[in-house]
Amino acid sequence: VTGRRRGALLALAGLTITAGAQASDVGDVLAEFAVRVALELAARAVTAAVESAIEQADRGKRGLPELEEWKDPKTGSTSRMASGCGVTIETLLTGDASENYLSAVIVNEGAGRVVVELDRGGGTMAVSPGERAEGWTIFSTKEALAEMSSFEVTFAIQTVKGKECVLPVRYTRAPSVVPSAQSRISYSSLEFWFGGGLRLAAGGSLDDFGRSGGLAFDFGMTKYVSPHHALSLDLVVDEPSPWSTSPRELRGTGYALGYALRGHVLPWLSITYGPAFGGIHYRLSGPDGSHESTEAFLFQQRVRLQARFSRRNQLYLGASLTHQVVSGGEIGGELLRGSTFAALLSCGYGL
Amino acid sequence: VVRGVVVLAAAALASCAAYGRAPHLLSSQRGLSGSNEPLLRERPEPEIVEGSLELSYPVLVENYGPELARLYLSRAFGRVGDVEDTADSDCRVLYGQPRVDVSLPPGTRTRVDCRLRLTPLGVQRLAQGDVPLVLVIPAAQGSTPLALAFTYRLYEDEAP
Repeated sequence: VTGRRRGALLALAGLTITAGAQASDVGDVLAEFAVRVALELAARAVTAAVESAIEQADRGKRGLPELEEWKDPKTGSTSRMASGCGVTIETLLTGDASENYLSAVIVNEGAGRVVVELDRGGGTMAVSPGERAEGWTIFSTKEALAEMSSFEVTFAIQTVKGKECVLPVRYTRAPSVVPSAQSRISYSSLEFWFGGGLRLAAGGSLDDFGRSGGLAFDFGMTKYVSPHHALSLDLVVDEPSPWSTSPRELRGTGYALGYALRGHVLPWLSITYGPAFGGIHYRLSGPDGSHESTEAFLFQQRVRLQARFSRRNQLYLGASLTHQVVSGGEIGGELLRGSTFAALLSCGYGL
Repeated sequence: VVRGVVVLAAAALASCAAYGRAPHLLSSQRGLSGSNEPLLRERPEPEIVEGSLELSYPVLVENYGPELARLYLSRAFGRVGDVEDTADSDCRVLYGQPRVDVSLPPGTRTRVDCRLRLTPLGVQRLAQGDVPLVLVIPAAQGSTPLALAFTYRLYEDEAP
């Protein structure tokens, strides 16, 4: 599997180098390279997401990554087994972006039907002879589990003959292993952002086009592959200031693909930094109704402070500073090169 | 770019296929339980080594019973289909020596890593068609002899 994926990535790297050799301009090479790297990263994220989805469809919560700090050093696994009343149970501790799970497989090896009740809200399952059932329960929060050093879950089994067994399964955290960010931080794997703000300053020819003031916009999505690392896709909208008195109007639309690094100050408060590359199509309208257009290469970096407002991670509020650098062709008699700074307030929705 | 994306998409789909080598096996005998959960998580594939087919098979064993259990790893063996002497096995507990029997006190568990190697007879059997490879680990709970068995699907076209 790894070999196949590595081969595909090497193929893409080869395409990148070929394109680089054929391009005539350093700017073109960089732009091509940025797009290809972004595509490669996006493809990796898609691969991981599809793998995870299929694994989960195949194995349920058991297919998710195990919580490292709860693995038994003697087995390298969070598996715990118990048996009684003709029933065998195996539990695992796993987690995804938003929750940690205790999942259980119950196999009835006895001669009669049994009813198994899992505490901690895991529910009741009836299992026929020779059959198996699967169930899972979540912990109140990821933070709550991270604070525990040990805990016990019990399975209450009742047979049709009235025999009862209580099977406790005990977990003890390996004291030498610090809980990983994945197991203690609850986050959304996919966030959608929208918002707006003010452009604070502009340099280069963008200043000449009135970009030192006016409105800035934030439309984008971020796909987190871990609590700290993500891929981002932004829709870039560059509109003239509504207060501008210039007879010329420069408008731009484009995209930026990038990476985001996130650190958590508190479980509900985080800071992200994200560099991104992309392109913008600019169109200049003159006072006489004439139009000119050009393409520009975009580099963007953004720092965002974001607060989470619900335990299930659906709602966020963010404040960000964005720096954009554009480098394009000639438009309106001058080379389109410059940068802008903007401050924005945004709302986020997480899945 | 399009070619690269197509190649990546194909690789993604190929790597995402469900693991059809073995179902989740979980069973107990007198409180001694065995599971092939590590196999399903690590998804080992057979490989040809020096002209024969070899496979790593990791399992977990836990003693939930009240008595001391023994795992006779020195006597563990593999079987292709139901034909005897078709696979050699080399089993060890995590960080342990190969082919050394171990004791499991009540309430303890261990991981056992087995390396199975098909004998010429086993390769011959595989060449006739898809067949399950069975790993058998003899054990005892107190004085009662037991055996833990785990399966793995081998495909005819994998025969060396």
